[in-house]
Amino acid sequence: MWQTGLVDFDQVYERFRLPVWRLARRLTKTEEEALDTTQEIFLRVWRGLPGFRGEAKLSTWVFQIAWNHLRAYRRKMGRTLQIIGEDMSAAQETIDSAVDTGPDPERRARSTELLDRVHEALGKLPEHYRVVVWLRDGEDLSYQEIADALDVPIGTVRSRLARAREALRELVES
Amino acid sequence: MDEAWGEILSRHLDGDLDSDEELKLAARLEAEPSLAAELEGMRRIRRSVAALAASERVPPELDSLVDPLSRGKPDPAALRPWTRWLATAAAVILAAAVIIEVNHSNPGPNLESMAKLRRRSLPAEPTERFTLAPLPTSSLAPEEQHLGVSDRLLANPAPEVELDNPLPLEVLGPLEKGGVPASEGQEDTSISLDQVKAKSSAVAADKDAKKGENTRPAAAAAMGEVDRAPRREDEGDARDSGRGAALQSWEAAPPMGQAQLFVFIDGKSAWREFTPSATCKPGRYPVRIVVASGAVREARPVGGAASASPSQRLCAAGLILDLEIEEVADGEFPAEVVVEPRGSGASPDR
Repeated sequence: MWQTGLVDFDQVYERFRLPVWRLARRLTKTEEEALDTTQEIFLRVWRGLPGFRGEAKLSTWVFQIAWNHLRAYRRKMGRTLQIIGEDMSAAQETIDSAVDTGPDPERRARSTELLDRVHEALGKLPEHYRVVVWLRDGEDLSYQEIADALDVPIGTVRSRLARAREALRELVES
Repeated sequence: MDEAWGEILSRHLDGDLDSDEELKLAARLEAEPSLAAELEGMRRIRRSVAALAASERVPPELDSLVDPLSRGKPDPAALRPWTRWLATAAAVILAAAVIIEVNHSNPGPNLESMAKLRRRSLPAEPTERFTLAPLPTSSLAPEEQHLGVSDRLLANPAPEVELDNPLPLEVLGPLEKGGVPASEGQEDTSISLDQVKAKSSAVAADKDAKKGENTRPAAAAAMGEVDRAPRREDEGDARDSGRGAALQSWEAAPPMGQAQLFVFIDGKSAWREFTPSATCKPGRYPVRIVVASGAVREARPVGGAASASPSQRLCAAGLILDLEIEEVADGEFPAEVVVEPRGSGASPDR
């Protein structure tokens, strides 16, 4: 096991590979881009671990690295909105595995439709709304953790989250 | 819904409201069913986002991409930028040091040393016999070495010889006429300047005639060679008589200079002098030759000076066809034809 600083990289990777991947998947266009960015994020984590002294929560620190890299990547790629529909196969797999698998076919269909809509609506949200709603509802981070990770005041997190949810609801119900 | 109530609904979902705020919200929800419907919509979406997150799977490729980091062996791309720059700089410095050391311990011949050798007039007598000569890198002592062609080319740059009025191949060249034996006129290399001018004017007149121009009698008359550059009354006659005059002139006094064929074989150079059977523009012409049964069977120009036209290069290559070089084994070799100006009688050693 490779030890660096207070935490070893294997543990960090094991704990955050899925959350970081999910965030990358939400903020990039294709699965390939998500893979590249996730790899780059963990490379940065690996480089930064020797200097990590535990002043911040590990999750906050990792998400901060992830967000900074993803934001820079998106800026570099010149996109502000994710274009939905270009890589639908992977997205569809996600939705398929998330739908209600109960015996009621009508309920299953409704669940699939809702997930489709939510997935699509998420892609249409501006990225600073999308990341807040994802970190809160997808990753279950607290307001404070989100504020630390995004380096914004906690009040901003509250207001952005409220607007993001409202926008998402309108998009889904429209 | 106003923004403030939107934020309260959102915070309610996350359990971020204090008890007072919760009470206020409960009363409002009771009084306003549409607000309650909005809250329900938000809750549904929140669950959907969570479901999406829970259903996401990491692709197996990710582990293999990140695996080198886990093993503490980052791939080269994982190196810090300054370490990459450091490695590159070290490689460049090492390469430069090697080059300097090699050059210092084994200096090659320079122009000065070769010029000294040349001044000593070491044996390089021009003969008709084909001679193999070692290059300066030979194990022989410098004073025992024959000068190779590379030395001569380096120490004695090619003279930029330009005839005032070069003799065009199309008129004088025996390549059109069918070739002239090398022995013919070999002794007579002393053609006068007047004769050259005469041929030149005839050629010029011939060219004019070809272009359909009437004549350039004034120029020809000024040269005093009107008889050799006949006035042309009609175009066909002009061409025939112009060419005829030129060929007549060439046969009377073949405009030959000296020429050398250099052959480069396995790090050695060899040459022979010969009297060309046709006149080409002086200069150096790289060629590739095919030797078979002691003679040049094929010769084709390769590159050459930008100033040399294709016809000049072909002319030079044509000079050495069937030239005897018995000491050279059969095969294909790089070579060079050096055509000296007529009357110079120059050998490569001079």
